[in-house]
Amino acid sequence: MSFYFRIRSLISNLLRRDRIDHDLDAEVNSYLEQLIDEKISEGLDPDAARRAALIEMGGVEQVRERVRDVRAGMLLGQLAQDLRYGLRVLRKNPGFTAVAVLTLALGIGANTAIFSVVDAVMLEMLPVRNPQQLILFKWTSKAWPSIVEDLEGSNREDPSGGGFISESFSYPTYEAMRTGGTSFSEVFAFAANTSAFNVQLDGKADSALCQPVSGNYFNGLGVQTPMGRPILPSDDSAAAPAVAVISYSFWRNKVGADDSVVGRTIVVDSIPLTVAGVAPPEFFGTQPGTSVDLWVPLHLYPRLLQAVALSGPVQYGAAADAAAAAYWETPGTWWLVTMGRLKPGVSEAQARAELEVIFDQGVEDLARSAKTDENRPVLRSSPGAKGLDQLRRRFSEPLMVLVCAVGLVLLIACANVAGLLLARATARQREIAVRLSLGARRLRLIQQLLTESVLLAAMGGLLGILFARWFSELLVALVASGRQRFVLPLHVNERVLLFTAGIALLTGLLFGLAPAFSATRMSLTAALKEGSASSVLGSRRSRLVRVLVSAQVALSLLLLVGAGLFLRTLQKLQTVPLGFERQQLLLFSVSPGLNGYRGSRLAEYYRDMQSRIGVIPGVSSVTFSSHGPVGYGESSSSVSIPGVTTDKQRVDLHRLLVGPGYFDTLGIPTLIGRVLNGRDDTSAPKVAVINQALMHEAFGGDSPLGKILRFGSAERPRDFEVVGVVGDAKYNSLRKSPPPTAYFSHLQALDAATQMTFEVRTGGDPSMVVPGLRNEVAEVDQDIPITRVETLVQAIDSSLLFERMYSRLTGFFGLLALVLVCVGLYGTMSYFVARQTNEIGIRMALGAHPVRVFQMVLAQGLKLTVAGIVVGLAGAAAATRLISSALYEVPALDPLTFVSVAALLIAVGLLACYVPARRAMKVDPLVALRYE
Amino acid sequence: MSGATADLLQGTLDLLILKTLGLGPDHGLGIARRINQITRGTFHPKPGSLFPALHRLEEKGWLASEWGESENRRRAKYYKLTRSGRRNLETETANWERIAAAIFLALEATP
Repeated sequence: MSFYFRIRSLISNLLRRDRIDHDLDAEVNSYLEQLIDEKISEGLDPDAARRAALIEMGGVEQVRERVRDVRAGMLLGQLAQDLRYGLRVLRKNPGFTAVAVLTLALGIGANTAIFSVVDAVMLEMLPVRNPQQLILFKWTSKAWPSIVEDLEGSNREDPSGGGFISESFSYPTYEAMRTGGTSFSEVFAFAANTSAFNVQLDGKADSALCQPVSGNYFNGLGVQTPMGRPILPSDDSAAAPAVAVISYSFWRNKVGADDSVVGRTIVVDSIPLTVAGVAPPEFFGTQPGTSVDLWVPLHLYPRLLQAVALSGPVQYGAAADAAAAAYWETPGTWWLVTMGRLKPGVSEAQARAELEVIFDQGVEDLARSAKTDENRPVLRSSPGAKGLDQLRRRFSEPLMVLVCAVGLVLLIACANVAGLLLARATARQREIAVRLSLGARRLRLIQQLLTESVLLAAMGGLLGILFARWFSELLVALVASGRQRFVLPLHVNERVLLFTAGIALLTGLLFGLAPAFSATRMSLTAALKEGSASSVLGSRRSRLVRVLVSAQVALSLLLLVGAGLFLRTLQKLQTVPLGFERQQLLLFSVSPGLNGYRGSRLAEYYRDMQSRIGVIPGVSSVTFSSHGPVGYGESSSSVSIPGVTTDKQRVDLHRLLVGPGYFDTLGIPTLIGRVLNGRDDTSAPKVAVINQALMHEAFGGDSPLGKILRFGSAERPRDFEVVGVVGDAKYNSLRKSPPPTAYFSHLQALDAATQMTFEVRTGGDPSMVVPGLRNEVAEVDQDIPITRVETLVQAIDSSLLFERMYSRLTGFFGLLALVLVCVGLYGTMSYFVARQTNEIGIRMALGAHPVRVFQMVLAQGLKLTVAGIVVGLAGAAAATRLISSALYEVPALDPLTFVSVAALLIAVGLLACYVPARRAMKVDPLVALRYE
Repeated sequence: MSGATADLLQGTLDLLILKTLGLGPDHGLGIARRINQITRGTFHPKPGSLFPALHRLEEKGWLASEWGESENRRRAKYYKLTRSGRRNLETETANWERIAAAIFLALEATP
């Protein structure tokens, strides 16, 4: 029987039980038929013959059963035997075992760690009752639907076929879907925007993430409150007393785990709410990665928002009521995310079909009453078990890059251990030859060798799980930027364990297969003789070892080039000229608007803050702006410029409200005219300062002084006169070059100045002034919390989350790969030196200088390294194109990166070969020749 | 039929199968009949012990099997000795002869 057929029979034995059974049936049947034939030929009639035959058989089923038992027993027996033998072999070679297990543990551990992140981000379901029953509704349209006047929440390009996709619905649509359908046990909703509000509890001011939810939200999700009660449908009306459910972590960290919290009052945006209950510890809301602190009934949302009114004039009285009513009554205001829980036995498609009718009817009515019907939205749905997909969308690509990186590490580990096994196969050659000559089948030996490698992988996997925990912690530590509210529970669950077991088995087979085949392919007569090292098969094996080492070099080069490119990108972004001074600038934000500050009170608040902070020891100057310099969002508008733009033409610009001293404090140079100051207030003419980019875009070379930036419509213009030009400075994004920007005095746009980020320039370490700062802020108004206290350098760092993640993690894994390659190369060269001991001995006996031998070994190692580098460079040149969108001012084929990585690998290669080469140099010709 | 058939030792049956197949490939029923024949009716292997033994020997790699056609034109599975089976037949035969001789001597000995 050919070898190929043996392998097939092994596989069919393991995987295709039914075919074996089928074969056995046929065999037993054929026996029976032959027996009947025999009886008939002895003179019995067919019926009697069959009876007699069956009696002689003694039960067809029992026969089959016994054969199956024998086969299963043999297989199990073999497995137990192989395991015992494997363990003994591994125990007898502790050095080899330790290196192999450690290598595999690093590879498997890195993969387990990354997979646990993938699991938490991409696979983890909401911690609610039967999450598979949840459906998330969305709609798509070709472009912005004309019936939608106002949209809150996410709207984005539809990844499948362009157009528009959003999860926000109007209240009337939600109500129609909730009451109209029969496929759902519950249809519930929550505001698409979760915003941070100022809360006061026991006189302390704090900021909390607040999620307005419909009355049936908790019931629909199936979330119980361990303390108190959830929000109920009866809470969700304008007349009901205001209540809130607080999250477990809010209860523990902000309320001091007080058992009597239920029934107490918490003030959110000056609206007093009664705490109704505490949510369970694992429940974070419906948006993975974001932890809600406070759930309030939907009907409180407009009231909370009135206090916020981040832009536009604040409304009071009747106007405010009208604005609030818009949320309930205006079908053009789309602001609710809607989810449903399917009744048992109903499919998503059936349920959607039912609600489609209701949705389309609502759209139809709205289109008729609004007299506009472009880009009609179409109802869609998706499984809601994992909640909203913002986190998944944001991280799927970075995770893909990381999965590839750790995949490379694992491949390197596999190649490494395969190389070790091959080298060891030479040492075991005699053992295997003896066993083959004693009649062991080759397949059986391969099976046993594979058992050994799977055993190694299993041990590596176990240790890998341990490593994975450290890796995860390291991962979080490497990526953490100190500020981000990023809650991601990473734990080793069954899915992760299954994954680890799976890759351990796979790696075991992957690295074990080639060595097992190679080890058992030998010429017995040659192998049984001592000097087998020079056999043809031996050289075939060493070719394989060489290929494996070069492959490791190539794979690690791929990883290191990626890491290098990401590192260069990060460096470029960290040192990119900002247009202002980056050092010794402290930032913090306040939202006095949330506490009801308006008009002159607001202006006074800012003036007070500025003057008080300005005199804190260590502060050299202080200012504020509507957005912090980098990573604080942006605002943009379009203006017309009389005398410059034509009727329909408008100029797009980014805008920023700034306090007095903004340009001096940040260090943005004044180029023409003057900058803004405290006298540019409501009573003074409205003025603006523009940057160079805007000057070039709107005015070409002409002087912009005295020109008018006109906001608003032709009927109700709001004009600002340009009084100065300043240097270009980055705005929000580090990657984008400074956009055309106009700066306005906060005093001339107080309506929009309800929240500000303060910029404090310090003489020394910015963190030193923080305590004094907090005192002064509390002196001005202790109910206004300060948020996001950080230095500009930290702010820049946190805006570079992905860049840092890419460069640190690929760098870390690249380093890991480098260590593995070093070990692999060292092991391989040691093996070659051991194999060539007598050749080296002969050379030296014939007068070769030891230095010559040293050089020879180094050259061999270098050859392998260079071969790997060449292949790796070609691969990297093809692969880096895939990450070019993540790079900044670094070409995908950046010569500096490619050359330095290649040089690094050559250096590491030489280092790894140094010890074996030294050993070769010290070979004693006499000993070496006697060895032969 | 004597009591000997009931106590057919496993090792004995394996050796008899190897011996039988040493004469040439055969199918299950053929092997049973040939064993019966060469032991002059002393051994009469039943399918319940014959098939497990055949499969065990095949799993050990001593036998190989393939489908063929029997003398009365029925499809039947034919077994034959492999190289390692033939080697084992020799060692097992030698072993058996040693044991048989020893037992014979022991039984012949008079106190």
